[in-house]
Amino acid sequence: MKKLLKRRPVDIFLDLLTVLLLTVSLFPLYYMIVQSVVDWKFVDKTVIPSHFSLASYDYLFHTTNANDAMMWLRALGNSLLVCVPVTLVALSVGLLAGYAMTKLKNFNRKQIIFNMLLFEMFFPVIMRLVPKYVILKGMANSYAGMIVPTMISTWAIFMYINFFKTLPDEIIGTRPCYPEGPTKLEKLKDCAFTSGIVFRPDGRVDLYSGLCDCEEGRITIDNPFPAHGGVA
Amino acid sequence: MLPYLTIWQPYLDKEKIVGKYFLCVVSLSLVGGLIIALLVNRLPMKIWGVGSVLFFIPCLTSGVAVSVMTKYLFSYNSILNVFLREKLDININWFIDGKSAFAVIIIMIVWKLSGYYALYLTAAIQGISKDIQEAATLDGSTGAHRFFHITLPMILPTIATILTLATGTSFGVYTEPFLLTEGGPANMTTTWTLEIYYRAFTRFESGYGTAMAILFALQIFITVKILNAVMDKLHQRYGC
Repeated sequence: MKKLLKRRPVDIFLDLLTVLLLTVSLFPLYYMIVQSVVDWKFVDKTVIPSHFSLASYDYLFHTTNANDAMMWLRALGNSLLVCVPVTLVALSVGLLAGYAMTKLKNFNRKQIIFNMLLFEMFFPVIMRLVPKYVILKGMANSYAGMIVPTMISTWAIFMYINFFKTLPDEIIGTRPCYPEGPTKLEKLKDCAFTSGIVFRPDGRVDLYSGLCDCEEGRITIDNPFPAHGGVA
Repeated sequence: MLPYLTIWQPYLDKEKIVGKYFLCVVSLSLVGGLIIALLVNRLPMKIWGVGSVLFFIPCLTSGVAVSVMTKYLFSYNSILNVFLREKLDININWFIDGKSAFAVIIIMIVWKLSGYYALYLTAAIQGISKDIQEAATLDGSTGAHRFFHITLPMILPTIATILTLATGTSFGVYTEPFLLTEGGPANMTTTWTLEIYYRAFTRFESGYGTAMAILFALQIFITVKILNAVMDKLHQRYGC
């Protein structure tokens, strides 16, 4: 409470702004939920309901109309069936393509391919419908027809490219640059780099020096910082 | 060549509307996203994640559902209009007046996109190394100064990505005008995609539609390239 009282007016203003924006962005959700729990007479006529009714949900679960009965369950299942393979393939293709487009050194004409991807991404979807249908006519009326054409996502590739661009390119050394031996010393499991100084109880210090985490050496020397208090 | 030539007649009128969409959607959603990202960023650690997800919810809702809801909300006998008419004596026919129809569509799109872009921006702001923030604080940089000299230059690459995405989205606006206004009144809210759809699928002028689609994609492509070049220049000058 004390902390709350100590806040500056600016902070209070920003808090209020956050709450306001949150209300604006969540209002339609609230509206939707309210409309689903009021009586059908009041749908779209009330914002703050006085009477609640589960008629809409009751209809969803208990309708006797043979065409509507639990149809939403089938629709949900279909969505899942399309969503899972499409997501998996789009993610892996996007990952590989994004890496290749940004990090591979001997991959020529990258820019042309990137421009083509960009062009494809912005080409209106509706104009592609007819040519796409003509090409994929064999898959009509099957699940494959819903899954295969949407598997490769240019958008995913684009996002991965932009992500990989923000990762630094510099690599200090790869395995062949280091001396023979295990890639990672067993005792350095939790280390990424091995150098440092360890103060010993006898007043001397162990000075560690290493090559990344695959080689390590140690010398024991007198405390190089006697003026600074010795053992910390 | 005929399909390409006949485009030029109504081209400039359409281009004006599309340009308006582009400017409004890109600038407003970017600024909105930035404001949300900064607000979310100053939330305490515990509710930070929840905050950014709550702002992301508008983007998860389907455009069709939101459009239908908005149509109800702004229809003549909706709660909003009844309230405005009876309590404040304001009578607006939202979808008859071109300006208000355009504004409603823009607000809907910006509402939807802001939270989405805020997610990228929040991640980018979180990614700024704490060392830099601390060093800036020690040197006495606060508030607006820190935002313009530390935060903004550091998130320039993310802003470039968002600009590209927002450009594509703003030129390709389709669902909202299709469901709310069908491009009207008097073509004031029409977009390229809508026009292409009407030409190709209701008037069956496929050649015209395809020609327009190619020019449309080319236009977005050029706009994106120009924006990227500007962002690259900015990045070289101010970025790190």
